[in-house]
Amino acid sequence: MATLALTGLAAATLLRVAPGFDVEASELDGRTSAETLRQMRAARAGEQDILSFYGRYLQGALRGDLGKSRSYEVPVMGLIRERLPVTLRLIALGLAGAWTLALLFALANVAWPGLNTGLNLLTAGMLSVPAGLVALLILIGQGPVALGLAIALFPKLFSYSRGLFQQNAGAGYALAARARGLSAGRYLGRYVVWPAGPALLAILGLSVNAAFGGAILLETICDLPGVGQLALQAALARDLPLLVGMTLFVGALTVSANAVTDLASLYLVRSRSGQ
Amino acid sequence: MKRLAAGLLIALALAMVAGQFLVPARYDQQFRESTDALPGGDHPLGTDELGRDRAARLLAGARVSLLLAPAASVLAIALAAMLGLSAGWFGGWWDRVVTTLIDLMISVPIFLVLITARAVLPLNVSPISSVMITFLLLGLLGWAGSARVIRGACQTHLNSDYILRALASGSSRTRILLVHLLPNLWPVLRTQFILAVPGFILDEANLSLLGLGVAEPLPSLGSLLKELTHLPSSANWVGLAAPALLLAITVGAFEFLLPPKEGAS
Repeated sequence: MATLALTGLAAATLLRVAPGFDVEASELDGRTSAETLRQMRAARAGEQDILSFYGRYLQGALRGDLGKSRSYEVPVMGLIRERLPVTLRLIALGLAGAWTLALLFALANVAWPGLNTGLNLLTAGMLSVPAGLVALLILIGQGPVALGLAIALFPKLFSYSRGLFQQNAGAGYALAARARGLSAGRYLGRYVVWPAGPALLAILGLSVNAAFGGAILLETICDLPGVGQLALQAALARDLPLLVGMTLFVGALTVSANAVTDLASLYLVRSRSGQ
Repeated sequence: MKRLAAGLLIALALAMVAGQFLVPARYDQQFRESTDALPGGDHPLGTDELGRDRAARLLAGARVSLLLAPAASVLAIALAAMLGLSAGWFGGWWDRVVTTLIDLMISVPIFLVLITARAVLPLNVSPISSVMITFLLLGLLGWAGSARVIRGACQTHLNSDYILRALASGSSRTRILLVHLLPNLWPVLRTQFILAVPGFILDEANLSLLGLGVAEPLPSLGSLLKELTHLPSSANWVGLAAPALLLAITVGAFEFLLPPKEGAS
């Protein structure tokens, strides 16, 4: 919770100190009357002191009110609620694809070590391509956006999973079991994949964070109206309430995902040590 | 593989230095009579829609990315070393402050932090200023992961037998820091530096694709990627794909420079 609150405060401070924060293009229009100008400035007066702005904001957030977007002139919560399903679907499909591929390739590499050089080259090649370029190629090829996210996330997940599997496969107890004639399937399942469970769960939490980063690029470049695209629009429009709301919301989701996977990982470790 | 990667990077650095002799034009020079030209004698990679030589722009873009990403990495690793080392060395409340800062930076997607920070700064600045802003931001915001690794390594060394022996034999804290700890942390710092460079090249590319990176007319490997959107309607696929290929080769070469353990994890 403290991390979340600090994250929101940092975002709000950054926006507040940005050059041009207190100026709106419409104020420069000569046709704007003095009264309208006074009203526009009065509407922003509450945002002048960053701490009082943030204090009031957090009170509202606890009631589910994240304020009103300055650029869209609608409640922030409504904007997020409207776009969230698009992003959640993208992230769920992207993560599912990336994890499936990563685990399958990692297992194949442990089962057939001869694949090592080829998979090293594949991973290095994929790690060398920015997520933005993947998004561009998906846009040009009119492919599914979730596939782009899966491609962007795959190489790191594969590297981590393979590292864990190889570590387990090389452990003395695993080699001894294999030497005693354990079948390949049982060896991989019981001695390679199963012990990696807690660590894989921890990486799953971190991959949600990475997926949000990738979603910003993919949604913006492929013009998908999700939360990631909204984040960029909020930043470009210097829409303080929307940006702070977005930061808090995305922070809450990623911190929750990490907390859930950490707890699941801990549960797995404890339940196994109790066996 | 490591030698091949190092050789590739050296060849690329030489091509950047000799760029003005390899191609006859400046990156912003327009050949108005030959816009969108296909690769040929005068223009090895053709020209863009404004008549600028694509090869000259590619070499200039590579120069921007390859000079400034290491500079941003130096800044990020210096910050990471200062924070990570001091947290590990002093411990106590300062360690908790640094750990909270690291958690703060890692809890939100770094790309969200980057676009927010870049967007709050002026966007209509000179190309040189945009380069400085982009890579300063990358350096100032990209230290958290390395700081965590350096802090961990520092604590491991401080709890190790050789430091305890040095303390027991009466070595001063300054001597332990300068003679024992820093030389042993050097490989960690070097690896973190090599890890950070390709990451920053990719981050710059992603920022430029969103229009938040290096400003026109100065090219960078990232900003040149935007032209790939013309791929379906252009016959010059070699000229359009060259930046993507060079970017992948450059970043890939850095990946292969990493020690095997870090590369695998």
